[in-house]
Amino acid sequence: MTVRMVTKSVRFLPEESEELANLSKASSLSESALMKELILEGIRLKKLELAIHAYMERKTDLRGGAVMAGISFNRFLREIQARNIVVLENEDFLGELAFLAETFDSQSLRAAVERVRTSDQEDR
Amino acid sequence: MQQDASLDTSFWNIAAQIGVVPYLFSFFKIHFCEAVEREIVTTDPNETPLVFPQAMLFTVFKEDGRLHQTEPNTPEPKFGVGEAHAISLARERSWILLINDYRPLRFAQTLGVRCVSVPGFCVLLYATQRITLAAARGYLRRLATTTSPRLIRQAEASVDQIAIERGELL
Repeated sequence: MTVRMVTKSVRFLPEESEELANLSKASSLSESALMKELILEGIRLKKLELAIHAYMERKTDLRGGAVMAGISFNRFLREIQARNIVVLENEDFLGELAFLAETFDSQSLRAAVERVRTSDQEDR
Repeated sequence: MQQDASLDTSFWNIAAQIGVVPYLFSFFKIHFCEAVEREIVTTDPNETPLVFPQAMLFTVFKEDGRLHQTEPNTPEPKFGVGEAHAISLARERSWILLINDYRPLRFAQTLGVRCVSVPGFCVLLYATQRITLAAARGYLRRLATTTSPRLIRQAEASVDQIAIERGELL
């Protein structure tokens, strides 16, 4: 099957054009090939940036972010972790611990949760 | 006694990264959906030769018979495929959901699904004397960069309270 290529044109300032020519020489690529490489890399980075932004604003989850960025779940999680972005919040974390204490019958966890809960309430 | 639990990719990957996965099987009989498995083992096309450690660990435990494939009857239409299946499986069977991603965790909670996160599991490990105080603190420290400060503070405070009760901390 033949793929039909599409032409896009971009206008550069003279100094930008010169910089592109210099880069082309230095990397032994034609200007056209170099531009294509740079644009594809730019698209990849922009998609990732938008996905990370959406994740930070809680507009998507890890999976949705990975889809937006066009990468795997594993890769997106690595990108999120590399930027120290919070993936887990739980307003009722003490409730989760209390549930674990009941489910696995841990008296020490049950008592610890009660003490932390009391201390949290006193701090407010 | 082991509790049935539905596994989400977010829990497995982070639990594997900090090294607590082998402890899971003392507490949970873990069920996974095909969609979750696919997410855990998939790498990017340009990284094909790479096998992430969490993917390798998943494969080993699956071959070992410790991970059980179970599919939900009606996957939740919200969110991505993996989550939808993991949440629906937990909901349909009244199982625990092992999850470590904020939005789907909140959604699952609104459906009445009981959720367990990686920091919660680390506190449980210390409470049940599976790991030392130093290990518990180390795991929580590793989770701190991607977990809300308030949650980490509550997890650390719970660990400290248990340590005080045991005389391991003054």
